[in-house]
Amino acid sequence: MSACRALPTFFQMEIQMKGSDEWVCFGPGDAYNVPPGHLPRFTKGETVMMEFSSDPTYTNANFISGLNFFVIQHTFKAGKAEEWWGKFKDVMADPQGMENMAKAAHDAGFHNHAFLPMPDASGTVHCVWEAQPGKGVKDMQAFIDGPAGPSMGCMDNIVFGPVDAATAQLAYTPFFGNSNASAPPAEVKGSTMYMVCALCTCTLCTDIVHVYMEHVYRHTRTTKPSTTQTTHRSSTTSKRARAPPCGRTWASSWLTLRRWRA
Amino acid sequence: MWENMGKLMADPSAMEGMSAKHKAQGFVNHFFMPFKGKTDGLFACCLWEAKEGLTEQQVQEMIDEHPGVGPFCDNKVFALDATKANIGLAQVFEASPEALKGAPSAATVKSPQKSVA
Repeated sequence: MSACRALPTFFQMEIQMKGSDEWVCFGPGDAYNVPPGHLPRFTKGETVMMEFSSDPTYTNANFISGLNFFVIQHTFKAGKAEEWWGKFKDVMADPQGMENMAKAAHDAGFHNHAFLPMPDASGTVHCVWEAQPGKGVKDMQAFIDGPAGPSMGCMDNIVFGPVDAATAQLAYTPFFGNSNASAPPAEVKGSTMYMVCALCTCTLCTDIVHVYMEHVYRHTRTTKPSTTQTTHRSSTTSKRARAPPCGRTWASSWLTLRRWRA
Repeated sequence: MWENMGKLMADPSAMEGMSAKHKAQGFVNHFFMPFKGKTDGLFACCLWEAKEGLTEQQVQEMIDEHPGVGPFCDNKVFALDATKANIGLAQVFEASPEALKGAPSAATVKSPQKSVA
């Protein structure tokens, strides 16, 4: 990942271009040509992003087919619950231990999203796991029963899944599925609009300032497609929900993304 | 069941109405995960949040009367210990100070800063 410039923490967006591991930072006033297949993300500040798109990055068939979630039902082996909670407490108490456990899982191609124990310490525990695309129920079972898994020899595990991502409401941001390998193909047409809501952190402004950003891009092919020429016309319209109480100059605060066909 | 759910899910106002009704009753659905692979007889797993004071029995009654799945499924409810759990999702109903007394900060999971629609 590239080192990000020192930008106001309340407003920063990163884009990973298709075919690249690098995340490019965007700040207020920046304008870039962002080709199809990119992934946007927000990593700093009180920022919420919603994508409204006719080539929806997060709902297209390629992306959904890469989502590989499982639900695991753990039951304790007879007399092993106390031992497991003791071991788990030791791991939890050591930040490095948790990190190592997560890293081992990631290296094996699995990510834990949720750990859902019952109030009774010997009761059933459910977990939500995501696996790298391509891994199946046998891989998930082998991992969860194995030394890098959470069972520590104390649990019997039933793997359910994979989850039907096309009909599911997953609630969790994908860990492995969120890669540009799952992004839509380059032949996508249409507009991408991002609405960005940011908290203004200046000392004068005590209210939440909403920043709306719209990008309207029109792609018009020439009448001679064999020449593969494509003309691009773009316009960007922006508006704010209300005047910022601090009266800052918003002209320098628009995040402008240009998304043109390659 | 899917025909019934399909009709509901295809009608945003029906979904909103159902969610609003559940929320007024003190229930919020966080995720719905139907299985397409190994199911062992299960077809889906859901996570519900119930307002403080509601009992496991009331959750069972709510899900058994759920207009989408109630008449079609046998439902098993597992209570969760939110003080030990890592749910990873924002809690909708605020817990009382008494309920949070002594609980680790994990009980008040912050809302994720990124949401995708």
